[in-house]
Amino acid sequence: MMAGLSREVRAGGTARQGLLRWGLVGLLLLPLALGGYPLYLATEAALLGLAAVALSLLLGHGGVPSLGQAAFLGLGAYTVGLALKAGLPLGLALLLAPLAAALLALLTGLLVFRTHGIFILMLTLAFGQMVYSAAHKWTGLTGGDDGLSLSGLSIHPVLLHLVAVGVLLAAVGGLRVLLQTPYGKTLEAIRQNEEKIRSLGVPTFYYKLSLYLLTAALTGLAGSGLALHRSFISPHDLFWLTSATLMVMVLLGGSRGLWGAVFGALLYTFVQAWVSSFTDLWGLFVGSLLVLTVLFAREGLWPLLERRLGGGRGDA
Amino acid sequence: MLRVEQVSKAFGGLLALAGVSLEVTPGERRAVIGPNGAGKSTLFKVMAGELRPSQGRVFLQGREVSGMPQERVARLGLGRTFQRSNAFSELRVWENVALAQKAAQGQSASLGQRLTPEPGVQRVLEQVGLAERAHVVASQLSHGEKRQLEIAMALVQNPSVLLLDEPLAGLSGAERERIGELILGLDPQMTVLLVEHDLEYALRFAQRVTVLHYGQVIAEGGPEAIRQNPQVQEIYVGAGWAVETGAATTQGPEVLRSEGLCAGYGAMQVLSGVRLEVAQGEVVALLGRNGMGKTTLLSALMGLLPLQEGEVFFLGQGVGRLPPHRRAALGLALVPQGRRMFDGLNVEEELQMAAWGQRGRWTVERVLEVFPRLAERRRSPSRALSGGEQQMVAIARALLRNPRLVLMDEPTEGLSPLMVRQVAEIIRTLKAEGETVLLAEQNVQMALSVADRVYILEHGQVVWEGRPQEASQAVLHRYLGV
Repeated sequence: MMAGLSREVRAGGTARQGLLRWGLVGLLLLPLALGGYPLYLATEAALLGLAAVALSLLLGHGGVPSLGQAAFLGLGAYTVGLALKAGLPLGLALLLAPLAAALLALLTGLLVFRTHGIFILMLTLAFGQMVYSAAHKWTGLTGGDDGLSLSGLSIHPVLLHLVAVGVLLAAVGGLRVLLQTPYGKTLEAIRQNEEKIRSLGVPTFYYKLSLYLLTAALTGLAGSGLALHRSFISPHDLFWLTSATLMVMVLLGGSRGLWGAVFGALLYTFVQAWVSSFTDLWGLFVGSLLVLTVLFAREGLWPLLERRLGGGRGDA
Repeated sequence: MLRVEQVSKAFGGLLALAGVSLEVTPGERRAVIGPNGAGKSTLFKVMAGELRPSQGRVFLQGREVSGMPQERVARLGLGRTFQRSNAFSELRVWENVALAQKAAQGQSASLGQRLTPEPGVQRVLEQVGLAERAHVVASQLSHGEKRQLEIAMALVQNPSVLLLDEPLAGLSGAERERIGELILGLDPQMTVLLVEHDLEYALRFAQRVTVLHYGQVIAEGGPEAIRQNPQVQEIYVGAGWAVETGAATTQGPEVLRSEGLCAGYGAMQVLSGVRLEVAQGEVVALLGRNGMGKTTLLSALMGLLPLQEGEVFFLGQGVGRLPPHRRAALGLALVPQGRRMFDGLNVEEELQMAAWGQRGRWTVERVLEVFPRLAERRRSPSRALSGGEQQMVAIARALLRNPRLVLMDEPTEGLSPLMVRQVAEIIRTLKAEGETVLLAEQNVQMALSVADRVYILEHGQVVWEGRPQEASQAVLHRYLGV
């Protein structure tokens, strides 16, 4: 009996699900051979993917619907930009970015987690827009509409891409392990039935807050990567549409299991680039894709692929 | 072990608990009983810290816990199961129990290793009889198994006080037996409080019994004393009602008959082989405690719930496989529990909507004549009416369909005694107008005062049928075991 239990715990997905994941990694790495614009897009997808993975963890596993992730992304970007302008070494700047994002999450989270459901959505949205306004209006610090240019720094695109993909995979792997620990399972339990887990003696406030800090830090890190990648930071990246985009990526790919978010980010980035190359109405296309996904693949496209190609259910 | 001192709890204007005190000694088995709305669940919620008392204090092992959040109270050794079993439905059975264990050990935040089924988890699963189902995702458990899981999650925490909120509600047959035995076999060291509508079981379980009524303790004592207590008998059967004693109305032609009716939810069978008959012009009362299948029976008759077996004959025609709207068209009308007013409509609009396309003896004008109270309130939004008035609207809506038979599901639920009398008056009016009514009711005395014939439903079966004057004794026997 006990042997049976542990075997089941250890068994991950099937071998074919593993292959599917390697296929996804392959897609992320393939543009290295192409270079140029495809590589640029792939790096963009990997970094947005990291932010989407963080949101997927928060939304799909923690049950916290945040529409303010752009603030963490932007804060990470500005932190690394300003730190580099101030002459700090790159390593330190990259460390400060997630810390700054986590600090913002702590300050806002203390208020956000006094409420539930739709109010969390509204509060995160409001805080996100406040940060956007600050970035937009505080021209002395951020350059306002002119943005902040990081032209002085040049990192080789291949190196940047490899690091971005490496961090992304490490995050997915690490977080998937985290989800199997008592802490991770408790988060899932909070999402499914908060009253029940509280009645068992778990102070859920701190669990949600810590999860929020963790995902904010990851998003901040993704933001710092995007700043280096684009060599430019615009306050408009902090606008709530960026948060919505991340959510679309997560919903397209599937909010559980984290691989879906990676897939969603990759799909969104390339579909958007491809469609917008021949029409300005790319939003219509992405919108239809989302409608179809929500109607016919409720759990997202990645679980659909896993079932169709991977033989069996994802072990999210 | 657990002491409650003068606890009151108000929800807005409603006083759910009005100065409740009780003390439970270590290892005691205590049952808390009382009719619907007596405040039993509220009392449990206050004890567990889910609700903050408006007044009064709660002590657990000598330590004041009132005002603490429920997770702290839980960590101090208070375990509970919920009325509606609600585990973590997407997690496996063993994961549910393992999480409860980690929570009790204060290790929920542990990141060191994977969550694993430790021996304690395994032991508890065996104790409650779920060892074979350890790998199943919780949502796939049967109704009874979910209760077993709920109990396992409480037990693995090794609480010093365990609150069980209606653990048998909605269970029948073997599942009921199994869980009943499981609770009776709990560690005698543990202090256990039980809220349960099945009085027979509650009185068997308990060493002491507390009786709540309208938020107050009206009696406390050993099971036998409670059983014999006239006050307790009165709140279950009611008093001050004249039982209908007139000669039996001459039986009109049959309107409704069910034969061997079986129905339930999914795989769970609630009704097994129900046979009942309603004749033209009769008021038939369907009695039974909570969770005995009254609402399920009305739903099955109306077609809201598919029949598993058996047949329903309405006006001589087999309707058991017809969808609800077809049965409604034939003249079957249901007044649902909870009244269900439409938002934004006033009384007259509610009635006009119901009367749409109808021609017959009942018209909006006729209804307003029979219910003068509604005529006075015809312009009021229906949601703003009192409970009794809403019930009138609900009944009037059903009448406007000019039905051949009105099914009423607990029309007095949640109403004050005065309102209950109003509802009884309405039913008498209907009877005088020649309507045929099948009335499912918890308020025994009210039902007996209007009914021509009575059925008692228990665990999904008709266990008694007869005239109202004989029903009182039968009810006492069935409900309290007197």
